[in-house]
Amino acid sequence: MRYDTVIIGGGLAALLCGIELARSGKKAAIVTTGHSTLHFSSGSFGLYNGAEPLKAAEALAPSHPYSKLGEGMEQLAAKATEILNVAGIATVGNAEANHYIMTPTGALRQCWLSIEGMVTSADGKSFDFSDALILSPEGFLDFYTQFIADSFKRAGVTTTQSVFSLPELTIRRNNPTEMRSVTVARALDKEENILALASIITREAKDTQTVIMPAVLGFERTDVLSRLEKITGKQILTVATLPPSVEGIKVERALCKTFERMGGVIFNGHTATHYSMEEGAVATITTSKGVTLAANEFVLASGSFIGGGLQALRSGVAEVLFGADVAAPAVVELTNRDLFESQPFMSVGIEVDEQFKVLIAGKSVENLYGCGAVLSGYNPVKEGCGAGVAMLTALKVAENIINR
Amino acid sequence: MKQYSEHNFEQCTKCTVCTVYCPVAAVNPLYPGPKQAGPDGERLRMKSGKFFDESLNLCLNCKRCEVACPSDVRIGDIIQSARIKYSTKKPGLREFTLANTDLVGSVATLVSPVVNATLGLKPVRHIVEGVMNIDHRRIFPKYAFGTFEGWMRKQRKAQAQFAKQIAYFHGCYVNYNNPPLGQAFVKVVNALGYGVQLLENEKCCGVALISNGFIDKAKKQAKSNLASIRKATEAGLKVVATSSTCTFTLRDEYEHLLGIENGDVRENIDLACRFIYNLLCDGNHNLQFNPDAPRIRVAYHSPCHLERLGWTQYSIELLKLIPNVELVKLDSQCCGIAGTYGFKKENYQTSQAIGESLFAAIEASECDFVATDCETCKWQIEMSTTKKVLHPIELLANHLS
Repeated sequence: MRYDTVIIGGGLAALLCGIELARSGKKAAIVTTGHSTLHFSSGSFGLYNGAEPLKAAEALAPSHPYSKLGEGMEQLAAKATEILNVAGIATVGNAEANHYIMTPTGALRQCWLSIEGMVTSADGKSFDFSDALILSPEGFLDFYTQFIADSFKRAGVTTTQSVFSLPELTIRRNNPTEMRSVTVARALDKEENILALASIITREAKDTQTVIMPAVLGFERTDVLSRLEKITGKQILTVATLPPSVEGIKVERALCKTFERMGGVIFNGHTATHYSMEEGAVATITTSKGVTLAANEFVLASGSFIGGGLQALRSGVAEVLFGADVAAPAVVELTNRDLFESQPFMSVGIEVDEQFKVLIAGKSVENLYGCGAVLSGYNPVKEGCGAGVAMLTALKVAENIINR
Repeated sequence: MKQYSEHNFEQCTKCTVCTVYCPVAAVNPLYPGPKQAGPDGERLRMKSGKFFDESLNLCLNCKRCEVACPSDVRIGDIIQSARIKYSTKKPGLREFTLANTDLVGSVATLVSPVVNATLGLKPVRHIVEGVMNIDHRRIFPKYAFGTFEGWMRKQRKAQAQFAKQIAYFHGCYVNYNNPPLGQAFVKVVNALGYGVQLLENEKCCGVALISNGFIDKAKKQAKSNLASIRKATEAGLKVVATSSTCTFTLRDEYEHLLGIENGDVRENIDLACRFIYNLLCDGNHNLQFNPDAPRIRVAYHSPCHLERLGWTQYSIELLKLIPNVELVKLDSQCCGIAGTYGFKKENYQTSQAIGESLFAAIEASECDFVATDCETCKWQIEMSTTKKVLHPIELLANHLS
């Protein structure tokens, strides 16, 4: 089968690149092994740590992916936000100044965008409410109410904690380890359960106007939070749970649907295993399911170690499909013994030229572009820029392909 | 073909993505979900078979967990293999009747008007439920009067006229229930310049035998089919099937679940839509369509086993080639029937709950027909919606000039 562009990978970078190409009229296909790391998403998107992420990014080393974006970083950030919104994902925040989102352990972390309806703080120290009820499903193992209560206490917010149950969730507890975020979210797709939960909220919250819940409000439905707010008259805010992340899954689903609606094709469950070259350019890739795809351009958005784009071998780190050039320190220097310090392996990835063309044996391949977590030169955890690099490099690659 | 170790479950990172996409776990709280039933449970079962839980029989073997898995864990295979190895539930009369499609089909096609009329009666279906535990609401596929193989015998000479030849694995459904689909396939392939032969001795692929616990018989039939497929392969014939599940079983389940080597012929077993699409792309073949065929809106449903094969796009691209067909792609999801699973009384509710959103999407699509490559999806959709379901090959054949 033949496409204008074939994208290898199915995560945030691949989907944004795909949507941008598809809406410019390109026939694009995505090839992905399984579902993406968006299933572990925090519900927020980081651009760069610091009060003003755009300014902080100006002073980065030339090897940092942001340094290859040129002047257009601000516009790319705006475009990424617009695509999320076009896909139906309502966000809070902007690239001018970071805000803070509450993590599953109650910590407050800087971010650029967060999904509407989650617990956020403008300054990382205070909230615009003084008391709240923390309400969690009984037997739900992936939400730590005490950590969250402690965090609010530090910010001067008084909280009370309560649990709720629904008949459907009680049966689910027969398999306690499978009482997970998605299970609860699915139960809350049902109108009768929403109504039952609404009356529990009214009963438990009493005079408290703000209710904090795990981010499990609806799996297919996106209106459960607003529906509960409408019935109860309370402000309802959510905090991300441990994986699987319902918010992340909703982001993936919305982006996939947008891509497909714009004519994109997704080969899910396919691992790209082979490729062929013609005159220094990639001609085709072949997948684990025996499907060969030809294209004018190929985009490597296969992720890092967890996404499956990079592999750690005894001899060093390798890029799995093309054997592309990898920028990495010697194996002994890949880790720092201090667990909480910056880990060098986080910055390992492939080398690309100024146009994000992938280098193989020191030469950039004319029609092969790299974007997202497979790239080298940045530390997503330490710098808080994983989502930003994924989205902005993906859009830059799309721009380079469109202008080709 | 990639070789998998029995320690494949070690690749699981416990990310739970599989459970998110399990259609059974979504609607039936009694099912522990693929992660626990598969890789988690396997670790324990390796210690002792007593850790086997009969709730694994609730798995409908759709393999959507495997498609969703980012770590290439063969979750569905692990669950099915555990059922084969440890389940103490012995198959009964119901399982025998549902699984032995060849035997039941050969008898039924002889007296199909009687069988169809009888099984259509509500009181009879209640008796069937009482005796066999097959849900009375389930509508049986109608049997044909005379088999596809019988029809093909009369075509032998005509088919031999073609210079290029393929072997057709028609499957039980085409043979006993829907010979017109087989005839449509012959028509399309003939139009591309290929004659159609039958395998020397085709038996049911065995998918229903495997899921109903008749493993020895399944192995016997697998060996017999592979012997016929090898002969065809040696004669230079590609073996092509219209059913996505037959194709999947021949290519993957024989080796993964029955432990029968098929690596030498696996790449020679193809699905009709893929085979035809690839021919049309090679620049030497094309089909003439009837420009005056009525304009129809078709909603395509991708069957689970076709998703697992990874070949859904071939059927979609093929349908897109037909002028006067306006294609709507339905979101990929399980229809709930899973072969014989949905016939069983204890599964009926789960089966219909799984398919519910698909049925709603089909009705909302305002299509004239639904298209799909799987016969049991067809039964489920026709029973549960107002739409008629056709195989993409039938649509192709109907629109040829």
